[in-house]
Amino acid sequence: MRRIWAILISVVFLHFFIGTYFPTLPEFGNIDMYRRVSFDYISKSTTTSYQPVEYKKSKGLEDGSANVVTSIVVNYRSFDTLGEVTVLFAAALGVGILANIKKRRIEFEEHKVLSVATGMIFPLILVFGTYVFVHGHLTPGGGFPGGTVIALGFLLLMLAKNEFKVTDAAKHTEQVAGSGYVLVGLIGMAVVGVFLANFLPTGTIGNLFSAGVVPIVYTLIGFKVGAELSSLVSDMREGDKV
Amino acid sequence: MIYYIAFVLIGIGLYGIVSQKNLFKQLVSLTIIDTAVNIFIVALGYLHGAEAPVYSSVTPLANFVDPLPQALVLTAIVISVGTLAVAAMLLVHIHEEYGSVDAEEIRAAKEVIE
Amino acid sequence: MIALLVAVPLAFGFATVALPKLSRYILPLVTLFNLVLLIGFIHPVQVLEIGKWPAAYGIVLVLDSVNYPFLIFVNLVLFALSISAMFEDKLGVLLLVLTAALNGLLLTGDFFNSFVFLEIIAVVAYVLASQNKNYYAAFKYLIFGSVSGVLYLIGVVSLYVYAGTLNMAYIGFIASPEYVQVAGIMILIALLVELKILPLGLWAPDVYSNGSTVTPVALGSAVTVAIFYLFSRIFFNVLEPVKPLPVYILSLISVLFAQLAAMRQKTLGRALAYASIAGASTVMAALSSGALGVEKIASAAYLYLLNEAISMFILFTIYGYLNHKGFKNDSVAGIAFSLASISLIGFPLTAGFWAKINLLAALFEAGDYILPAVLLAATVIEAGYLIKWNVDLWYIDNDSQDEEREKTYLPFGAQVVVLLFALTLVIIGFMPDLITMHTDKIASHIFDFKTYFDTILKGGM
Repeated sequence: MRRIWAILISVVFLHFFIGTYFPTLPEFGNIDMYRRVSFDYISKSTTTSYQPVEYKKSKGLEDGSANVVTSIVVNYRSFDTLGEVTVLFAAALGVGILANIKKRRIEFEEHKVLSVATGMIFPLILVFGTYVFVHGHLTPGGGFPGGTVIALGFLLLMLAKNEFKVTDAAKHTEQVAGSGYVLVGLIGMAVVGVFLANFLPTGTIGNLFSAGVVPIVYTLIGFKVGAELSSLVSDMREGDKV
Repeated sequence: MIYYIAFVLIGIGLYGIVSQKNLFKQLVSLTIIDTAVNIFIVALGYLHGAEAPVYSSVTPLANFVDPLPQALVLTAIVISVGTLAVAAMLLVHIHEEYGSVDAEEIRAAKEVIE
Repeated sequence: MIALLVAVPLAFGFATVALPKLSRYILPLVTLFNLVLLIGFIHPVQVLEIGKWPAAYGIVLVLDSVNYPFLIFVNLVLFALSISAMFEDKLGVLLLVLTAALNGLLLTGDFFNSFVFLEIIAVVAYVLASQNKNYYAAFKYLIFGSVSGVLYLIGVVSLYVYAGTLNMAYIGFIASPEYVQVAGIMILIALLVELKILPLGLWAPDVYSNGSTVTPVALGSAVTVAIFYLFSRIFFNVLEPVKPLPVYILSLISVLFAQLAAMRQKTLGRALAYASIAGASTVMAALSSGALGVEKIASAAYLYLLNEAISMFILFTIYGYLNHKGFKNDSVAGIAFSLASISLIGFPLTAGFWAKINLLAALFEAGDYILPAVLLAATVIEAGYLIKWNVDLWYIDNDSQDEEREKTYLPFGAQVVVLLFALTLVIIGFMPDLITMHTDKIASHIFDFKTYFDTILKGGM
């Protein structure tokens, strides 16, 4: 009986979408970029007139990051990123609230190969994660993948050593980084007059020190996401922490 | 075409949520739906013959696909990870209380309690 | 300055995660700060472009005469909740995040931003729904809510493809109507799941009846009101309306089913949950009664929504504390409970009476006779079971357990809040013009797309 309902719902859904919805979409690969706002995001000309942007040559643009997706996520639509950080925060806090189960801590045997290998790999993982979020404005990546890589390093450490605990340092990091992001927005409000405005100079595209406030924000996000995901996994494992 | 693949995956995910009795399998179907929607959104921005939207020494001048759907998908992925974490924790509690994660066994256990 | 309404609760939420005990005291202070800011310093009409990017490129926050009353009401409900409810420390941080997200949802003028805030509210709601060991119900809610979130996302992205931007006003201006219908259906289904209309709202009875003092109040009074605002904004103000007839029929069926189901419940919590579903469905039926542009119906519907939200606040708070023990010891709770039930049914001299009379009058004037018939039938059923519960709770029979029964009172904060809200219902019953003045203003502005678009245009490029 359930299967019949399930097949019915799926078929009705697919019929609606493929029949009514697909004809309204443009053909795959054939979009009209000039009608969309992305055209101005790419040429960084939302407040100025159109000028083609060139790598390592254009200076002093309204937004200086070479990675256009980063410029959208952290600069043009920074409020959405604040919301996204809040979703992750609420989820990690929810897991922390729900994690009160007695006698839960998962114990396992330590494996010699894993312990030795972790000792060698863990610093490399941390360096790689830091590289990803520091260079978020130059190469694909940014705060969220960088923070996840760092949290995975801590997960590896948790799997290798039985007594490893993520202490309250993670909670304090999360606290400082999160308020730091809102503080950057409020400083923007004090300096430029509008919440979350960019107040540092944007240098040449393609240099490490460019793009104004974007590397700072991505560093804060990287720390926050790393601390959050580590404490989330640790809460799932530890259980009762009265 | 990619659009068809994405929506068939969503259909499979919906079938999974409605027909499976095991709650964990419902959660996995939800993950399939999330991934399929992310594929669909990124595909909406594709332009034939264009490159990834990063200014670099390979593409010093702009010839890019649409970067906005990629930014939207970044946010959507993080949101689905958060939901998945909360759901997994709820499943641990359900197992702790009823002894299984099967919807019919839970219903039977609830009748006994009441 | 508008951004402070969102930034301040969020900053305090982030800052108190390492010391959760502090959050319980910061929450009333923050909501009070929001209220003072709204009433004293910020006035409509204002547009704030975040980051100083022009309107179609960046995110705009809009405060106009439509969402100003909603903002005041939602912040007031959250302030009352922070005083009257009893919750563990860490939940205070989540409630701070909920405050920020609700304010953001009410202020935003951008579709993807509304999706992000809806998801924040959803994650907080899943955790709230699992209070009092109600895990299975929270899991069902999670599955329903996530699928609806995915549908909303597909709708929002399609609107971007049709119009080229994500700003609400520009999408309404640029996108062509027959494409907008298709995306509108998806957004509509997602909002209907959250508004508890019955075949899609099957998660609600289990979630609302968990007996906590926070969950049904936060979800039923604050979140539902905010999502009704979002529904009105999207479908009356910005986009071309989707065909209202299927939604109308669905809401009517939902009202009847919910009231009939409420009659047969054995516990007060589930009966109240079904009553809440019925109330939300009535408001949805009134808003979609095929009369787009009739302002009197919309104004009456908003008054009905206000009455629902306040009465449900009182009823659920009292149920959360007393939980079937009677009113013999606690007559304050009893008076408030009875007053709220009377207002919900719609006896004269309470706010509910004016809500129902205005709604019936406006519907008759517009020539619609089906919804009044359903509404009257639903009122009769509702009167039936609410009076029965009131009688049961006032004259509860507990000679058997006289010694061991501890006296359960409502704590002082809860008593004050509940009495004040019940008093408000009576005052509105005597002088309905206090509120109808504001709902008429909302109704007259909400069907007016040109004013909204001009506001954003002037504030922006």
